[in-house]
Amino acid sequence: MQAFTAVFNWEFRRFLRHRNDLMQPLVFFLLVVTLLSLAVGPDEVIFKRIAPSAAWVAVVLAITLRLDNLFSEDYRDGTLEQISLSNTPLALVVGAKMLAHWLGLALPQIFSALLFMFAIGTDSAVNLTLGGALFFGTPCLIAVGAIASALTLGTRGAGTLIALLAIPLYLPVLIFGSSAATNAQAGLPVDAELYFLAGLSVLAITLSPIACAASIRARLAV
Amino acid sequence: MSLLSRITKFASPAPFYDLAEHVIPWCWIIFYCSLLAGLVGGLVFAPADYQQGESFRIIYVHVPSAWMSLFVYMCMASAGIGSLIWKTKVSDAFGRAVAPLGASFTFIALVTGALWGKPMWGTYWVWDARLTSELILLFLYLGYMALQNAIEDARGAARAGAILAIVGTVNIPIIHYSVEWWNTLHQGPTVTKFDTPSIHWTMLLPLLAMVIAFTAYFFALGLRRTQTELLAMEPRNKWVEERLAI
Repeated sequence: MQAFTAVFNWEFRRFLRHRNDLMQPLVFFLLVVTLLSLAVGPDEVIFKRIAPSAAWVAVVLAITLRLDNLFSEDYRDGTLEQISLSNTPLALVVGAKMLAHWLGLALPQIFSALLFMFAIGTDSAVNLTLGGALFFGTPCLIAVGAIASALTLGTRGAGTLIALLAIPLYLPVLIFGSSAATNAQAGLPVDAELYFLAGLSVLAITLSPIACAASIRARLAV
Repeated sequence: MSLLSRITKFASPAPFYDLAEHVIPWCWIIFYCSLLAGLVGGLVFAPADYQQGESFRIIYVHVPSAWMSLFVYMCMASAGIGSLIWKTKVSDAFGRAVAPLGASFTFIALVTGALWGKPMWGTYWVWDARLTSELILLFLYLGYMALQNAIEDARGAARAGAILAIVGTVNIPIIHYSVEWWNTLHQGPTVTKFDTPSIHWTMLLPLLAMVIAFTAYFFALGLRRTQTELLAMEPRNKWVEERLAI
């Protein structure tokens, strides 16, 4: 437990100290959303309809591009190797890192998504549903992305490779999250989608640290 | 030699290589015979469908490739488990070797499905559960191959690929049960279900023959590719020199 809180504090403090790590993903979210909005064109009706999906795509991309931050710095300076040699279970350390990154990377994205939807003027029920879907879905994104990040430690072109590995595994989350928002827009119930997202997240959070630890050991043993 | 060690000796490169040399010609023979039976039965003897007419016959390529895409992925994941637990060279080589074959089967299934969908459903593609999950399977194969190519060390690449293959196994039941769990455009299960098949035997037998043909083809090519991977893994070893001298 001490090790968990220690690693979490250390990792989270890194977010607070390097403002770049906090701000850049938010600016990236804004850029992607602007890109999609301008690509759709001036038709406001169509835009309001796809706005939740645009928010989802922007969140997924922002998280995917930042995933190599999770392990690569510690891998390069040898910290990860030292941690893997110590008594602490590597899965526990991975879990602490994932929690810190969810708070530092995903939670601000959720807030900016809600801000974006508020600025567009969509229905508050839709905004709430989108916020809930993102809240339940982003832990799965971070957890699954962590596996992709751990598998590509030390390889050339790791950035795009992480995206190639992670995004196919993200698609179920994206499908359920997007359909939650779409159902909310149509006035249909969204319980099923939110339950599925929560279930996927719980599954990912429990199993991913083990897979990450195995991947890190595999990459360290080179 | 005990029975177990008679089986497990094939986890090392040289005995596996020699076993594959014996097995591959039989695989080709089975392939050609069942291909002939399947094509003649399916294209000539099977009656035309009452709804779809003659164009249903693409089923004899589409369904076997789809089944093979799932089967090859399970083979890859099993090889991955072997690589992680027992660290055998043969499982490393096998996983690496069959990935492109599986990706090709998935691609063929998607393309033949699209060609079949245009006259039947009026569209080449629709984002329903089965098509989307099969597309995800293609991405998983491509990601697996990309990961293995990105890591230079063969053992490290095999371990990383093994973990990826095992993580992606969750997609296989999703693909299989997608037509039962969701309201999809793709038709429901007709053969692999706990009931008599809802397809007439005159159409079913050529289909099974084509499945046997595709499986034999996969094993013939897969074993040959595994042999090549094993040769490439240890180029300066004595057993390689002996085999290549022949």
